[in-house]
Amino acid sequence: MRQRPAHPLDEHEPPTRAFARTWAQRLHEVSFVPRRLGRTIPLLEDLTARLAAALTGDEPDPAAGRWAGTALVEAQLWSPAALRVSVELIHERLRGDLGITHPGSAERLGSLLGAFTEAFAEGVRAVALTETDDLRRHERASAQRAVLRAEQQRQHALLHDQVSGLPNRHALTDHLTALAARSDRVAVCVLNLVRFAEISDALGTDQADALLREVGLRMRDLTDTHGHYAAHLGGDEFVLVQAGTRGPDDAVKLFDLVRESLAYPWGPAASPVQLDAKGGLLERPAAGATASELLRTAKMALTWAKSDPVGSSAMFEQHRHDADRRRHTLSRDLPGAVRRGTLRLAYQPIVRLTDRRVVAVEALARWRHPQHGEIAPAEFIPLAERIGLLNHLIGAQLRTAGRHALQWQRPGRPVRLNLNLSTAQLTDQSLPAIVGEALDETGFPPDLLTFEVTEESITAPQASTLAALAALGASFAVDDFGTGYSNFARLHEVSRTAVASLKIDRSLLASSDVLLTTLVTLAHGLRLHAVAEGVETEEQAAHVRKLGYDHAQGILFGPPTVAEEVPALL
Amino acid sequence: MSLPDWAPAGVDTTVPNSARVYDYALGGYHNFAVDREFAERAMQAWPGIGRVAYANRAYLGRAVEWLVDAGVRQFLDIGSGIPTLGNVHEVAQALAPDSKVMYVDVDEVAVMHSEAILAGNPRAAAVQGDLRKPQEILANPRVQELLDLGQPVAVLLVAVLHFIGDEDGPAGIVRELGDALVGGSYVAVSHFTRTTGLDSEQDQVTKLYDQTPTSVRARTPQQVAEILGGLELVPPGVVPATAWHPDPEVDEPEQPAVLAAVGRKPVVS
Repeated sequence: MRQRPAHPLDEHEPPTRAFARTWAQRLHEVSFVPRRLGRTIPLLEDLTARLAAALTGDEPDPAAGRWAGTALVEAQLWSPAALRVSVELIHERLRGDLGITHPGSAERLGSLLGAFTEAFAEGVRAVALTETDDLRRHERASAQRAVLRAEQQRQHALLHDQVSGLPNRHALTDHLTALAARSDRVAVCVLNLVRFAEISDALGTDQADALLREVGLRMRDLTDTHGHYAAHLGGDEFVLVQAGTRGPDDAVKLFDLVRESLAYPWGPAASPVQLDAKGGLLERPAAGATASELLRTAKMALTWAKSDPVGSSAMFEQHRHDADRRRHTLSRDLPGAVRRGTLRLAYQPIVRLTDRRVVAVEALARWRHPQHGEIAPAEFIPLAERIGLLNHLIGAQLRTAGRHALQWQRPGRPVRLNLNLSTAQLTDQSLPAIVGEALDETGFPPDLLTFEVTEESITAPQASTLAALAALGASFAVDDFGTGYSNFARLHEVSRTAVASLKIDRSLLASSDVLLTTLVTLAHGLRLHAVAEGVETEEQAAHVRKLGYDHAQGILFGPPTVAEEVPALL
Repeated sequence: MSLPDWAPAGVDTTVPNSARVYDYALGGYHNFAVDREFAERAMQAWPGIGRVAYANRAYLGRAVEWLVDAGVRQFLDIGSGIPTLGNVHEVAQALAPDSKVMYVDVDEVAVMHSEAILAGNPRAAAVQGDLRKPQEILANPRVQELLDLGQPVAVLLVAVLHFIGDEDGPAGIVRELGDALVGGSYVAVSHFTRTTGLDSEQDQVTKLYDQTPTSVRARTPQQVAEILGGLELVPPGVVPATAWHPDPEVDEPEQPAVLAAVGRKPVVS
């Protein structure tokens, strides 16, 4: 412990110290004294001695007054009240207490106090100005920092997902752009959480966000452990990027890592949520790839993965993508083509083998796409089906073909009109009405109308549509017979009502005579015409005729042709 | 001194700040008009409050001197506020030049100001930190750099705990700080308390503080002792600040509105 200071009432205390003690106590009464008095008193004692010396020295010394004024301010004894008690004390008691009797000391005291107060005021002013300046400067700097920080936060918010805190699409784009410039190859894995909408509905929004944060954390772990880059596109879509890959296998490994990290369940032990993701993968040279292209193609692969009921991921492949794009373009353009009537019909004759007379023409839909050229019905019919255009199509075809075929009829030489109907068309309950309307409009006799349908169509349960069409007077030909799934019981059943012929598929032409004969026997047994498809040579024509076929179709008798060319064939 | 209800940390010179008000009350210059106006209103409401502020600040000085005498050479002053008269490093380093002082305040201006004042003092520094997050303060690299937590540290929580609501768990905060320190470390606190006969004055001042970002709450000596729960109270225990190891040179009236206490973490042998 420090030595206790001398007791205030110590009789042997020198007068300088006693004065200083009184001064300190007066200061303490009126203002805050930043130190213990025991540590303030020695300072004041020194000042007291200097002031006394200035009063008793050979020459007046106002510098001692200045010294004391400055020293008080430096000791932070700088309040106005401190100045007041100091001046009072020095003026009233300094000379008396210290026993100063020097002649002229009374006159010197005035200028000494003048110098003291001036220095005190100067010191206070300097402190006030400096400290105020400092405070303002720091306040401004702090405000600038706050602005800067707000700006950084804004930047961060712009570049990060609000829920998971992972980089968002903008940040990802920047990252991919930078990667494309400096990496050889790159893998991008776009992830979609399986059943997230369902989980979100069950858990509520807050929990769903918590789940997304959890997935974000696991992604971040991957980035920390493996140096990959993770981003959150929003909702349940995340992206993982790996630079410097060596081939598609690396993208697969990347996805495996993700599934591994998602493998352990999330949430309370009582009702854990099993996480899983589907992945769209892409691995390619980085050079020349734009960020948006990388992301778009990986997302393309994700849609493949999502539509795959078995697999969890799909790798982007250009040819599959091209097919997708072609399908997309055709789907986009098909409605316009149907509306504008740019879908044309081509007609191919079907002849009776005994005399080569044209007994029917098959109307074939043709679509020449401005970009992709001639599109086969096999390609665009399913598209039309998917976008709900089929009925519109059959109505338009029947009207056009009906008007043409009416002109080809001669007394005693009826020419049947064959139109193709897909399975999908046959499932539509409104088909009979559409057909009936077109027939009414054109006046084409229904009993000259044959719908070519697949084996599948007549075996599937579309009896009501078939029956309704039959009731209009139309009959059916089973197209491509022998290549599909045959249900003879059903065939037998429908043959009694409306089926008029079996068109034996061209691929069977090269089969053994036993098979071909059997098919003819089957057709005739059911009282159906047997039609040979794809007859190209006279040898083939002679052969099928010998086997008992009734009719034939093929380029030998004429390729599909425009309506104007048909009369010449009749 | 200022505690943060006012995130984001920035300066709002249109709102009085308790640290700057305190500075003005002590005669300092680190304050704005709004702080001076607030201080004048407080002094009008409770004329003796200036002396309460002196008593609190004088206690800080005496506590630091006492701690230096007890051998402590490391100080962690949390809620240090705007540097004002009688700063910890000035007191400590005057007695023991090797004393190290880490100032922590939540107010960025206070920290910047402290940094400017401490420039060139290798044993004193200031960082931004929130008393309500003691782990973050202890983990701050600059704190770790300056202080050796393997040696005793005196944590100073002077006139700051009364800005911490019960919901923020002042006892838990002190416990967390204590847990991080070695035996032989200290926690020095001072805290506003209600006194008899000044109800109206203290009510008015409390209401004034309710208008600032840092409302103030009184706690009883018992509650203050509980906050220091896990520590050994250094005699004389929880007492009015003026009665905690008083300056023998000074014969001044007791200031019962501010309580002071120092707790010591026992050395496990």
